[in-house]
Amino acid sequence: MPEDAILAALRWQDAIDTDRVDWSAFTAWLESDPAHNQAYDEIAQIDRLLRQRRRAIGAGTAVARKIVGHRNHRPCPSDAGSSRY
Amino acid sequence: MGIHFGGTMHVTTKPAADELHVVYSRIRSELLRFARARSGDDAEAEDIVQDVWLRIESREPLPVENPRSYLFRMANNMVIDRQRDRWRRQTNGRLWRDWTTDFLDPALEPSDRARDIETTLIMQEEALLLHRAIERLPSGAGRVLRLHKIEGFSHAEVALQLNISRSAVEKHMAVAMRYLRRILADHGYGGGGYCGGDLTRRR
Repeated sequence: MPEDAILAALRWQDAIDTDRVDWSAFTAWLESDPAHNQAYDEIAQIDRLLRQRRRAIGAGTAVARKIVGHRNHRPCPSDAGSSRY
Repeated sequence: MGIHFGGTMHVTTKPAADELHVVYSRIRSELLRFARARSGDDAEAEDIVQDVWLRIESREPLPVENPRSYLFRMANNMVIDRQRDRWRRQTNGRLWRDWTTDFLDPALEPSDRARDIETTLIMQEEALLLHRAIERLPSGAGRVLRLHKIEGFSHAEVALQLNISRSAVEKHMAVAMRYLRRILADHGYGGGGYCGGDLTRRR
């Protein structure tokens, strides 16, 4: 995956996160090169998984501590993103 | 904080319950074009746009601050979730239902409960997998990823906090995302060879 497509995809995701995205321009960018959608999809899949598991990652760290002896656990802030959409 | 979580509703005092429907009708063709660009499939795009309609039909009539963005975000999340559900079904053979729910509902039937317990276990495994992957990131990339994705700061806010350029934030994020992608692909998220079972056991 070209580095510049990944960097651009990260900027689009940041714009979406901060509600400053121009959705028409984003659509045009996705359409302009198949590599763009592929790069964005990779970023978006990880982003959504992290977002949905943000609270569980906190719980996961507790599990990790118990299972594999992690000691450097930091509690995560509560996840306002638990609603489905 | 400037972060908006995957279509979180911004409740205002305006009584604009039907605004989403009005906006939906106005931008339906744009939504369809977006869903097509994201999913790469005409029929899938139609399904997604139809699902957006069904979802706003069934939701509580609360006004949202930016209906256009809300609808695009919803369509985008549906593309992501459908793709991920497909990967899970293909690679794991298990049934995946509502896997965004973080808590079990005590009113569920026992069979639903068993499925939800399984889903909850998988979510814990995913969390542990992600936690471990994040811990293994190079320190700069790990710090930026935590601030941006776990604590919810924007690129600009992370740059300010760490006193680095936005471009440096993006480069750290690119390293982090590439690494996480590789780990997740190894576990079936993205067409890799996920064998099912304990996600945390494989390294």
